[in-house]
Amino acid sequence: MVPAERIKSLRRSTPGCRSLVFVDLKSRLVLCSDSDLPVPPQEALDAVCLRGARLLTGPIPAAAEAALAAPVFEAVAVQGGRIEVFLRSPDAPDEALCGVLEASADPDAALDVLRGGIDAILTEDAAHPVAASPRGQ
Amino acid sequence: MSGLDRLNNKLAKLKGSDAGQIVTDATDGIVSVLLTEIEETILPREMVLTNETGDRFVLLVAGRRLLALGGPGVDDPGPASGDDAAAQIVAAFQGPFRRFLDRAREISIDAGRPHDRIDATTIGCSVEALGAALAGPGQGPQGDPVAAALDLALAGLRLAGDEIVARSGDAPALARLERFAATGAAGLAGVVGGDGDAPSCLFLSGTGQGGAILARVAFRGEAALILAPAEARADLIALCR
Repeated sequence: MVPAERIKSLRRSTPGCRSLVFVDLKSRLVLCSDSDLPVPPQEALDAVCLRGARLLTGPIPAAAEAALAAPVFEAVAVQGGRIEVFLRSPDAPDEALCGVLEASADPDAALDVLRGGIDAILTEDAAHPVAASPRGQ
Repeated sequence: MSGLDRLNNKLAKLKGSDAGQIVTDATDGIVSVLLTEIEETILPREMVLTNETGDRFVLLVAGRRLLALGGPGVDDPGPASGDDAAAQIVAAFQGPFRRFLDRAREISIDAGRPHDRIDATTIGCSVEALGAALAGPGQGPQGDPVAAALDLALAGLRLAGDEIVARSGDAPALARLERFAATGAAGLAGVVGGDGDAPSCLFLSGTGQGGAILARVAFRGEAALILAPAEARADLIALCR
């Protein structure tokens, strides 16, 4: 399955997920995305990607790791009726999924699905490496 | 499926099984859907909600703000400006519009570009302020979500700006939190903010739902920085919905 189809399928199976973005945290680039918005603005996807990068790499998670006594792999942000979830896999620290959920969604239920999803993506990538499109879909 | 089809399907599901009854849970679901739509609407858009008898409410939305709300029972349905614009919108939303949603057996929505040009001085009500007002007394924004978050913590710091104004909980955990407050907390605040009228919650954790979480709950210039058990996740999120 090509990356765009994988992300589309994963978003549709994630309860309450409006937009799902697969990102490269190191380069802070959107690799692939799917959304139920007719035309999600690229700026919005880039902003979600940047928030994911700031929460999952660099000084914030490094400081948080010391406080938690454990590495940071997931983050949830809730504000003004907007919920965002971010997760990376221990097996691929430079890649992450960022999801924008509807206001009534349960982020824990969404994360449950996305954990399995990112593992499946990484496993498939390892078996059949595919060059991801550089921006959007 | 278009955005409108998706919205209409959702509204049909929320209203579908309760013909003839006033179902406030369904209304809460519809309100949540509408807040999400407002949150995601940048360009001017007119949303028209119609019930089974043809009664209509019109929401004028732009820039993540509800600029006007008109329909049966709304005294001044025009675009809201001036100091009391937000209060005017909230009153119409909580009064006539909510009653309309409660009583409707069926709701459908249509949306398109507004017929009239929007006056640039129209400020209406931000989605954050609307969400905060609709949450009601004692539920998050009207209470003190910062204090509520500290109540859920194993250890916590109360911050006013960057200054620690109160400490609670286990001493070793507090020491770790204070180190985080000195090194990473400002960055965390910069990612989500939350110093406005709507509370915000951001938490970081390891993989899975076990283990502790590091959370920041902010509201009106104050914040709680806490270490909490994983079981507190749902309660922390509820504080900021």
